Amino acid sequence: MRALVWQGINKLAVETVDDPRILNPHDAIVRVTASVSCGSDLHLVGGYVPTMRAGDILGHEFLGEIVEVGSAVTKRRVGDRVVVNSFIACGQCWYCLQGKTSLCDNTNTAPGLNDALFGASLGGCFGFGYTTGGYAGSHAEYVRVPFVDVGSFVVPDGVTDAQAVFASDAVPTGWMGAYESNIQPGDVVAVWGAGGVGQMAARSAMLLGASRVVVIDRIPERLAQVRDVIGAETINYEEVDLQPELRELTGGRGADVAIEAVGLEAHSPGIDGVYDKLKTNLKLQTDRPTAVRQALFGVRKGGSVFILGVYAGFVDTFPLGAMMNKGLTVRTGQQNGHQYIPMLLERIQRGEISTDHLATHTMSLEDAPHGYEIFKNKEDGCVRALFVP
Amino acid sequence: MKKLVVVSAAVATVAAAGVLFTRRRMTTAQPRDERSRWRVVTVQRSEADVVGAMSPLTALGSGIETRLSTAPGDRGTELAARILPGSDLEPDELRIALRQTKQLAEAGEIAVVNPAPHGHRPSTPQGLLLDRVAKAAEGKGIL
Repeated sequence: MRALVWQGINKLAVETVDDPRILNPHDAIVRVTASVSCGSDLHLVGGYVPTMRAGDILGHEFLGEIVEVGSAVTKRRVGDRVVVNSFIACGQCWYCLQGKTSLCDNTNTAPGLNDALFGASLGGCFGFGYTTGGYAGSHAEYVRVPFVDVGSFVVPDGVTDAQAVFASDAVPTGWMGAYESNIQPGDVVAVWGAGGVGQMAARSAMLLGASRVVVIDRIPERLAQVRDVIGAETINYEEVDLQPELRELTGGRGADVAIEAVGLEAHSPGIDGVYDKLKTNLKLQTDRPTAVRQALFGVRKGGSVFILGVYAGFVDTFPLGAMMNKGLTVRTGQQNGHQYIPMLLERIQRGEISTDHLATHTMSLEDAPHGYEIFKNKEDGCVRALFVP
Repeated sequence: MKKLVVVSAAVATVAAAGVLFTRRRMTTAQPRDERSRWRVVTVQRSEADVVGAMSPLTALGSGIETRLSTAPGDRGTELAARILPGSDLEPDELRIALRQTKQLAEAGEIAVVNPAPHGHRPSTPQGLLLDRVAKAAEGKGIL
């Protein structure tokens, strides 16, 4: 089959590779019909998460048709059109039973690596290197899906591929950030990042009753999507002084809930951005916590912060003092979307959540290297590139 | 800049490998009998179910001792095992067997990724090191 493989830092190519096959009784093979780029992929492509092996297949946000099932699969059948959660969960361990499926005890095949880096192992994930088990990714014609009964969801009638594919990751990630922040009616919510996850967090906050949602970014076409499609307000942080602007918009209080959807390659026009970039380039810190820092400052006293962006390791200049003295509640995590995806697919079907506008560029899998190029450089208005094998 | 990023990524990989292979010495000045200490996993199953899934541990032979106890908070069963004096088993083997027993009891199968489809894998020093790190990570960890 054909697949997009990582050949080295900032070097991608489509190669012919072996087809996947059933390895365990709860597996299925899915013929991929749509797979999208994700901002977290860029951390792998650029070498910031150095656990990709040359030849690894990239991609984790996808849907397709089941073409083969293992002997213990009971809920899915050949021919089902399914969206697949990017994280692989067994559905039976204590964490899965608590709904924390990204923390699954049983699906990471290299747990010692996470133990060394984080003190515990998170679950497996498609196309994300050895940190999450080394599973082959979804930018391919076919993908092996372990525990398919747990991690796949039949797409409702009338929902297109371009709509449903984002229910794999961006929609449940955004929903989790808003829902688990315990947004109350009347809350003002600030979202850092107007990419797919940030937009979905903003829409989720609106659905959960926030009175005002403000999304912060610098890319004009993404901010335009936020205003025109999501229906939230925007701040371009390159045009205003962010913190006073945010304070003005929130009646002088600061945001009740701050959701960070940027991640470890954050940008800032200020001296803090220069400092963070220099330190990451010199490997004196692994991640740039610029957006997290801004969120901790921008939230009100006693407010809530959710870190949705992906971070790999260590940072300095983390404002622990602000977090402690303001009495903040900080939540974090990879997405636990298994519990939310059926409900979110129904909301997509009812038109409550718009997603297909995110796929600004649809192209053949053969053009995926170009897709990542424009996605990474934010060229031609690219928000997400959708690949059709 | 590209060269700097490449070098930085290589340094990060080496650092990760260093953490993986040297954690014990870094964190414990005078470890107790590290090789033969009890290693424990909590299994979200009854004791009877755990006993029925212990084939990875029994495959290690008579060189280990096991014990089972009820976990607090409705979290199933605590399964502990240790290497007996005189056995030539390595802690990595025991960690793998404990994790596999937990997987069999809870999920009904042992997680695997290989053979996985992949593209061309050049034999670069960094790639070979990553292969070694990933292989070692199956049996390493705080467990």
